[in-house]
Amino acid sequence: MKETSTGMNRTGISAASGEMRRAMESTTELTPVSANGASIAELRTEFAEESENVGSIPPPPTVKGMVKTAVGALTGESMAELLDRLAQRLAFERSGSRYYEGLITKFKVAQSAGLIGDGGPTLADLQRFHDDELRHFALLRTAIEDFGGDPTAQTPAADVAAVTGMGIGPAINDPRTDFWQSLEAILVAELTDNDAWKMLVDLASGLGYDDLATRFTVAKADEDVHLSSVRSWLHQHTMREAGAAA
Amino acid sequence: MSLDLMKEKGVPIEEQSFTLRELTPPPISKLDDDAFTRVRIILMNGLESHALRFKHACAWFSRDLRVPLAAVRRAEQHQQTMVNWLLPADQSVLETTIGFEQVAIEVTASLALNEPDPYMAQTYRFGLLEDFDHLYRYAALMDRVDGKDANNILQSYTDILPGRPTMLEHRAPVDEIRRPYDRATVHPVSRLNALTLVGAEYQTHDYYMTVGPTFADPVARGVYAEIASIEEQHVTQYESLIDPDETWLEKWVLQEAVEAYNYWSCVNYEGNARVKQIWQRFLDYELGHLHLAMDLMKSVERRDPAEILPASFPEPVRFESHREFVRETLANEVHLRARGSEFIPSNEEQPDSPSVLYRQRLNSEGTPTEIVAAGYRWMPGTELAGIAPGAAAAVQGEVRP
Repeated sequence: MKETSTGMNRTGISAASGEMRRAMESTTELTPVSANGASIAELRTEFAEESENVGSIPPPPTVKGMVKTAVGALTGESMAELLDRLAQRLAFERSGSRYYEGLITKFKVAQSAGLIGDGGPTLADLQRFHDDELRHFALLRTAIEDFGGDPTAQTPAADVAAVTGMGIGPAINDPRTDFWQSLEAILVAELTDNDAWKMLVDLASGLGYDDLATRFTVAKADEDVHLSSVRSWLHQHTMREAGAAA
Repeated sequence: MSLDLMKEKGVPIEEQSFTLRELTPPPISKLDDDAFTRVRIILMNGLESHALRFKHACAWFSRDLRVPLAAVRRAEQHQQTMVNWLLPADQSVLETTIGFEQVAIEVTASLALNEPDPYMAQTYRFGLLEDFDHLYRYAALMDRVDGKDANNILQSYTDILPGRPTMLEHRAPVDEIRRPYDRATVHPVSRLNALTLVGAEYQTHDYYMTVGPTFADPVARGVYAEIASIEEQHVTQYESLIDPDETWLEKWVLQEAVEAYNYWSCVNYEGNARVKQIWQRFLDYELGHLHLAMDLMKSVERRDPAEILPASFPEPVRFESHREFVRETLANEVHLRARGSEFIPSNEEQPDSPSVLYRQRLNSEGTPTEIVAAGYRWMPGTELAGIAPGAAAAVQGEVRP
């Protein structure tokens, strides 16, 4: 693993300064033509109005007595929303544990190369976070099962969250990204995760599932530690690299 | 219902038209549509892709056919677009890959079961067990890299189990060439089956070659590169079953018949009403292409296309789970290897045979499909569903300090 440094980056216009004037000349000769009526926004609007959604939330086959809400039976809509959110978090935590596996590998390589430095994470920190993700996955699996839901189903919220997160894994596992670049990808995941756990705590509490809300609050506390730690490591590393006063 | 190929003329090529808007229909739902709707879309995309490929090659060798070939190609390029754009954007490249392997397993199984020629059926079963292994390797990749369950795509129609290990599938070219059928005596169904598989496998190869470099993870890049190599072998294997002495026009007529046969099979099985309309429309288009090619065969070669076509289609391709057949084939034939055009038990493979030497060299610096699936056992909800958090280190095979 090599540290990212200055070099022969060719992407900017100034990298070919001799060509800049000629490139600009050609664009001034062009007269852009307007399309027949429709704009990009209009086309998107038309499709958005006509499209079906990505899919449905599978109904729970059974509802077990142990999770009856303190404020009465849930409507089908409330149950669907809750299951969709639980499944979304489950999928994210499961993927998150795989992200941390990749990050741990990167960490070991960077550590061997002496690229971690003071104020960075330890291997034990990252392994603990990885195990937290896996434990949260198990917690959500149990919660979905307790509602009589199927924890193996991919729900719309889980599906769309996976689309949103498509860049995280590649940013971590590309062998050319250094540990700190990979850590920045984890920050994106942790930011989302933190907000989503807060939403789950509120949702469980608001629907009257106090026991579940308590268990989710413990998970949220883990996530608070993840987020603050990752932020702090990145902050310290960036300041140190830039030679800035912390 | 069957279909009389000589009487059903479909839509003439002059009346086959599209708008740009039609080329991008609303996609299916990854979550709610049946897995076999996705299987049919992937298969038909593959067959249309092959239709273009064949017709370009044909045009290289025929001055007189260039215009009608171009006309049919244009319609088929648009057909392919409309079919392929039915795939939704939330279906990741790896999820689509799982779909490709489900096609390779379930469609090959169906063709192996209805194949009248025992040697060709054997060849299909041989290839089937290799694609079956690819599914297992890709499922492990999806589980271990993305933390996702391949069964969300497969919908429990297809098992996730090792087949003939991919590392053993690498063979020397000389052991990939099968005996071609004889165009004078072959059963028409055998012609349809062979061409269907060539199209499906060709597209699988091309897809892996296109998407493989889009992965960042070195494990994923390696798995795609390795399996793409096998898919090239499969194209070689299946195309070698086809009589090379068939004329260009004979092949063209057959190509259209294969497309019509498969669209007709899709119509027979499709449950999504909107998609079914597309299959029906394109069946009618393909019948138009078929009759155009048949007319050319009559006028140019002075031959009756009835010599090479069935009077009506055989049983449709069975778009359904072949779990029992695949398991039975796995139990009986996973040990087979190839020597020249023949299949032999693994214990008859000589240590200095071309394929053994080739394999040794290719695998000598590591085998991605082995690395990705080491110790892998699928379970509902991914292998992580079976791992207690305290034992998490076992996932990576690591020992904690």
